[in-house]
Amino acid sequence: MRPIADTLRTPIKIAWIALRILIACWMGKRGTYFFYQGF
Amino acid sequence: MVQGYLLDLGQPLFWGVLAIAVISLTIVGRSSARFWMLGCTNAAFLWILGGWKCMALAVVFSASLAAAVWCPGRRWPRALVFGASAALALMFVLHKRADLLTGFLWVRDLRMVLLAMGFSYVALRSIELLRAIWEGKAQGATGLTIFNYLFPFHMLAAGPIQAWDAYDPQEPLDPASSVPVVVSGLDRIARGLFKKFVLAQAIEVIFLTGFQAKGWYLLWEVQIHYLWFFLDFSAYSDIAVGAGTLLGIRTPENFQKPLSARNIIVFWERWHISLSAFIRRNLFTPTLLGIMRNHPGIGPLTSGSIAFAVAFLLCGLWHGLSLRFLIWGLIHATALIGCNIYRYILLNRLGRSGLTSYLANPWLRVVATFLTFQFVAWSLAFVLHPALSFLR
Repeated sequence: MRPIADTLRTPIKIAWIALRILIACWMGKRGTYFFYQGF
Repeated sequence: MVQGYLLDLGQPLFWGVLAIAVISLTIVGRSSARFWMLGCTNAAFLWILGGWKCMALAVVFSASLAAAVWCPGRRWPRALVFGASAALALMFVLHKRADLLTGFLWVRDLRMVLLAMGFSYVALRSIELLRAIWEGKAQGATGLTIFNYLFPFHMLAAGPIQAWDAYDPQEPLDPASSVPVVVSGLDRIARGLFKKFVLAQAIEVIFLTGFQAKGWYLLWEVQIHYLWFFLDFSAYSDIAVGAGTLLGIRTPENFQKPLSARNIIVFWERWHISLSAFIRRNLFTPTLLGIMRNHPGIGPLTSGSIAFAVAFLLCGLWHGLSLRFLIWGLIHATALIGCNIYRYILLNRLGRSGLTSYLANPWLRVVATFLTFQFVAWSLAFVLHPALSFLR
């Protein structure tokens, strides 16, 4: 079981990264500046 | 493509430059071309964001500091350090209070340039470097290393503020050297994007009214506004750290669970860590040591209190050259002094083992964390509430 889990860890992590980026791109329609910029 | 002078992560500029930089740096590896590649990237980013004047100002300023390092003897380097410091101070005042010089067109142009390069952070890095030059700790620094230190594109908008000691000489890391490194960098960037565009944005849309609400809702909004602020700012830092990982550039961490800080001293060890480290290195410690050396009759508690006051009044003014931010700095200085005195009293009364037991009390921790959260949230509301905008 452990070798399978180790093998799957990186692809799962990559999928999680891609999912978060996709959701952020979809929702990020407004306010793409950061509050602290131009400080 | 470029929305004004501020970095817009919704546009492809930053991501395009990051991708090109990672690929280019991976190709050149650890050769000396690496620093030139980085320099060209940083310069190109400044040009695109703020125009040729922005890039030119950055190059001239870096060159003047490099001259201070390379000039023989002591007189000319010191003169250059004084001159650069004076120019830095003037530009800082202009960056923060352009309203004082509205009649001049060149002021508006210069202010836009300073805005594009995130001048508040450039100023802090410059102070680090000027101090290193003055103390003779910048030997071997070239114009290129100075330029890359002052104007790193992935840390341009809002820090982190890297210490000169941590930067030079920096053993370069391999950019995107392996799958785990790439995954780690992308994971950090994804975390920042999710925090900013999903969590922070949801909070802003659903709960925040810009402090227009009155009554009980104001109490709620102050709390949630602090959370929103943390998510927004730490998201940016996550993206900077993730980009640094991909580029092979050590980028300091800026946040370490500050919302759960049990007192204001711990808060400042966890919030905007690179800024508080800067304050400790360049303001607090030199002030404390100066008092202890020149006035040995003054006790450590008083010396520490004076050092806190000086450091955080200046910290307030760095955030904004206004009465409002000066008061904000004073509020935090008072809290830090109070916390320090309280800790001293507890240590005297309970002894070290007694203090450890006292601090281990979970209910005490809950109350302390709650009070610290409230303090920070309300002090943040103080500087942002529109009703107090008359405090200029």
